[in-house]
Amino acid sequence: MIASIMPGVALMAAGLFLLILGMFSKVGASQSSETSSTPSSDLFGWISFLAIAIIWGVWASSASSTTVAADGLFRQDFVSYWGTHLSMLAGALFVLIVHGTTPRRFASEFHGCLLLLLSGLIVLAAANDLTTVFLGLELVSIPTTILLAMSRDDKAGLEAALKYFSLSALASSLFLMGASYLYGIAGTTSLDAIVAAATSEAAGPILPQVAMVLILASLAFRITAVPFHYYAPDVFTGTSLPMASLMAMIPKIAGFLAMIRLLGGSTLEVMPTSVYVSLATLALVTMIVGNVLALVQVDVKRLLAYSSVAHTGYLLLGVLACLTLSTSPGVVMIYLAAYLVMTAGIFGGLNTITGDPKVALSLNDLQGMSSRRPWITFAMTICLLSLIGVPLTAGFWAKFQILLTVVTASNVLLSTSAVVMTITAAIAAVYYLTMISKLYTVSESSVATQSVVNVRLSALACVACSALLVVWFFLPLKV
Amino acid sequence: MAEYFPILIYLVAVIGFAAVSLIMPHLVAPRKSTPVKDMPYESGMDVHEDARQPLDVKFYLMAILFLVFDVELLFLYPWAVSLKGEGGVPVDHRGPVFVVMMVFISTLGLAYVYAWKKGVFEWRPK
Repeated sequence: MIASIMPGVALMAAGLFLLILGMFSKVGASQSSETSSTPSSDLFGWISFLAIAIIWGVWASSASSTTVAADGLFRQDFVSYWGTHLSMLAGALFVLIVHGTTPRRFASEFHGCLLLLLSGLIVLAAANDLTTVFLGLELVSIPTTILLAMSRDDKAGLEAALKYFSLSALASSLFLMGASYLYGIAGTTSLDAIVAAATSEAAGPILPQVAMVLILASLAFRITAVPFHYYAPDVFTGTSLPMASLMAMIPKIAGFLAMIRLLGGSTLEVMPTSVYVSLATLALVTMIVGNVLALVQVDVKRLLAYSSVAHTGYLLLGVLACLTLSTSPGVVMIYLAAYLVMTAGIFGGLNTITGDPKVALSLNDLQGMSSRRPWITFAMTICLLSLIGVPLTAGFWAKFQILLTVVTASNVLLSTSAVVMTITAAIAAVYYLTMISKLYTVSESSVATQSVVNVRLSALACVACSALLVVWFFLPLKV
Repeated sequence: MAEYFPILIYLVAVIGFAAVSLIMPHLVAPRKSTPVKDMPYESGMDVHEDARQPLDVKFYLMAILFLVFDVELLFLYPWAVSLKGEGGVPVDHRGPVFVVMMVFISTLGLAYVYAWKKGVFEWRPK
């Protein structure tokens, strides 16, 4: 077993430990209140935060991004290194946002499933075989469904969970169908051998294309690329605010890690042209549709769902450019990291507005926020500006580096995409600036200011994320 | 391709038969509805209540638990068959494979204890 999946194994052990601890704790016994901010029910949240922090720290002190090793099922390289950092970052931020809002009866299961889900991301980052890619994808999607379905007394939440469950089962079956074609071509599930076999004469021109298109469709569902994005706005709207932040972060990391793993071994010479063109089309349509549909949304969660679709488009363009140049996907990793911080910051801030994570939030509900919570409003403004990509925030570097890679790769398709990316990023400014202007509108009527849950850590996550985004601009990360 | 010609004829005949038998009744069949005819058909028996009854969730829990042990057995079989046979697990790999199997079995045991503690086996909760 190689070092790259050790943090995943440790997270899995911690997750199982939390589940066992839940069996013997008395917290679940009282069923009087579903959510509570008493210290006892947040115990599991703290344990899970500590577990993530300790495992992240221990692993980071010994790992390096340049070590390359493989043992058949797993590899250790650039992607596994940065993928593990991304997973830990997403996990730590999500635990802060969700603090105090976990269903009291299922507190141990909630955090146990969360740690299992993060271990799935790490398996995915280190996967070197079709079986481990699938294992990682399932280890992410099954706990995600469980987390979504935990709000049992909430009809909209259950509907969202069911919708996600059935569609993710469909996506998994598409992946398996594509994987079975690849196995049929190569006679093995090892990714290196598959690249060699798919390019040989014996495979013929059709089968590798069919396989890759099926797999790309499945991954496009995970990353919410148009036209596989339809579930995202509904799931975001139906579920609670913290869970919507999970849906924005985790499946996206999973999908892009799997995509980089599956396409990364193959350079452009071996990738069928049809797959290249369909990836580019996916990126173009995703950027345009995501940004344009976000313009007409009045529900904040729906708007953020379409904004997450739009960011998928930019990320896809980055993947495509890195494939064209045959470089390691550093720009994609940076964009994902910046996206995680921006999204966590904005959701953490929104969580403090209502105090009730289940309530629907329209754009007008944001009014008057600046007079009630001036500091959090300022932090949210920074996060929103970063989502636009204006200078003095990390979002600027993230977009700039992707655009630079795309222009460097310079073929007709990518140059066109670069133009579309610039235009759609300008369109995106409209709805993000609308949100900022609503935040600073003075208004008498507003949603309840009384918090039913403890939102102090959400507020902390929001402020910390915005600070990180500004610091990041002055100390840009180069990988 | 000539040797596939009979299959083409067969294909046309099959699709044609299905299409004709679907369309013809709509054109020529008489329609006289009686109360008995309009009853939902349920294996020849009289319908006595709504088909959509709530079913106790415990049945599903039992089914899932059955699956736990079913899958466990499925994975134990290859191990048992290939353990000492010819071309099976090499002698110096038997130790690690044994450890892996023990980890697998204890994970399932943990799932069993978890279900037990959650009260799945109490058919009527106290």
